[in-house]
Amino acid sequence: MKKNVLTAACLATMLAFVATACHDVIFDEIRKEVKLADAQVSGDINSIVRFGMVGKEYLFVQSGNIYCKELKADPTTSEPYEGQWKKTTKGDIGNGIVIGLAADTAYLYALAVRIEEDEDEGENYSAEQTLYCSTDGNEWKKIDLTLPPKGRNTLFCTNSPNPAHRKAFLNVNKTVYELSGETAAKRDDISDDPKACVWFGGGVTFSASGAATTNETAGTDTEPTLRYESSGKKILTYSMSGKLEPDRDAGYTIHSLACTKDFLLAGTDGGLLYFQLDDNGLPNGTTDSGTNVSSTLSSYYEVHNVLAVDPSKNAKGGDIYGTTVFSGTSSNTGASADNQGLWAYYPGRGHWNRE
Amino acid sequence: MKRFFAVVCAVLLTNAVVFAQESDDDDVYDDTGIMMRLNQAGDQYINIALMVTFPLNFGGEFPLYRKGQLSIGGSGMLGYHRFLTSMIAVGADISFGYHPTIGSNIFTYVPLVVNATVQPTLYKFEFPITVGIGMAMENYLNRTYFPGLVLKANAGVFFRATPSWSFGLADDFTFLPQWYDEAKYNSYGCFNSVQICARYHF
Repeated sequence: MKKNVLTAACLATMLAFVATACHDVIFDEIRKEVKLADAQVSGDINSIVRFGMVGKEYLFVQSGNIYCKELKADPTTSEPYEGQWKKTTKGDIGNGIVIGLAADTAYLYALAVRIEEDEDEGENYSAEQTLYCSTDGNEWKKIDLTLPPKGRNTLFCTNSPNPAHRKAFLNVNKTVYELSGETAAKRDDISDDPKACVWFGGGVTFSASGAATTNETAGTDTEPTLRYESSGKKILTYSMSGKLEPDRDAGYTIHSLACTKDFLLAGTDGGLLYFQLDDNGLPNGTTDSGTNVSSTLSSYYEVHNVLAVDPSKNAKGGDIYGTTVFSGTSSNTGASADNQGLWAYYPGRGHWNRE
Repeated sequence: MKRFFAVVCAVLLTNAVVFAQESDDDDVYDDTGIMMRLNQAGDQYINIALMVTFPLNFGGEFPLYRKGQLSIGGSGMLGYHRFLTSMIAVGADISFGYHPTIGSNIFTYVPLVVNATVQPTLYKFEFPITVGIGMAMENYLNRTYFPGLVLKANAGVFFRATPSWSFGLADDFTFLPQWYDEAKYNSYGCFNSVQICARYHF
């Protein structure tokens, strides 16, 4: 009897080992890690926006304040240009906290919130939300549009590599406004509750999910031929002739997408994932990117923004920017507040690091 | 690595001196004059250790290894051992170790090792030499390697302060290989730990 019990216990233990066996790559990933740079732009970033001024292309990001950086035309032949972000002046925005950015061909837009403290409850709350526009990122004008202070106002744009295809919109509790300088025109023809949009098929295509991108390339008039958007944890692919099958399950909720020549990058609540693209442009399963992405924009963080500066380049051949935030506390997630903010991959450097 | 071998050699040399002696130096006489050995078959002890751990093959320099992929870490160990003879014991140790990485992440590992110990004694000093084999759970970010092979070697010197307690220092070498279907990911970790230990004998 004892012998049977012992045998059963041994078998159960072995089965438990087999069932729980998991051999993820660890030491090889640790050997890819790099020493992290001091961050210039940290905190909760909701937008990475392309904007053109005086014939030059810039990136703008917000983290309460607004920061900009000039894009180099060909990063592969230039010196790596880590950091180099400049804080803009907020002008009329004053003490407002900038929580979102968008841009069209001529204007940059900023959504700012004024925080007040409820002394009875001991909590801060949004007392006012205001939309501003600017032509240079330094002087801002208020747009005459009343926004609910505590409502969900979503600022988004096509963010096209081609400046001619840039359009900006504001979703105010499911009512969509198209922005054009200091005017905001209500768009009654948009019935969904869009949170993102892209330039595709000669016009703007809206997406109810927050993540959408195309394979539109920078600096040309070539129209994009593939569009990607998320639906929960799935990546949906569309060509000019319709939806392509199959959908790709990312395994995590997707917050952002960016397209390169060989990979589709998905910012998820489990970090930044690289999906190899097949000949038809469909994303295959997640692939080892050969970079240190899994130890930087890692599973500890949610990646709410990812942007490939030039989608015509391979993932290891062009500049890519991403942002990280984490939910919960750092002590129970293993995440570090120091790593919350903007990250970049430069081909001249060959790895991800803090910006 | 060199330091580890130096410690092992030193302990072995000390043991050679012990074995060269004719008298039963590990014998202890109690108040009634009855001869007692420090350890006998059937004796047991629980070993508790705190360690400072150096990653040996991830770059960086002694003692902090700040420029390496892993820097200096720490670990704790709890073990149970039972003497089969007055000099040979078998048992098991479980420990928990961690190392910060250069990218501000943490690598942790929990080895469970069965081991055999040879422990010569000299007066109230004990010189355990232990080798062990077992499995480890290794974690990094959301990645897990389990079960992983772990090989250990340990040598130390203890002072038997009371019949129930001994205290000492030890040097521990841990080898953690990681093997994969794709051989390009195969790697291994070598760790050297300096331990401060307490053992409860019963």
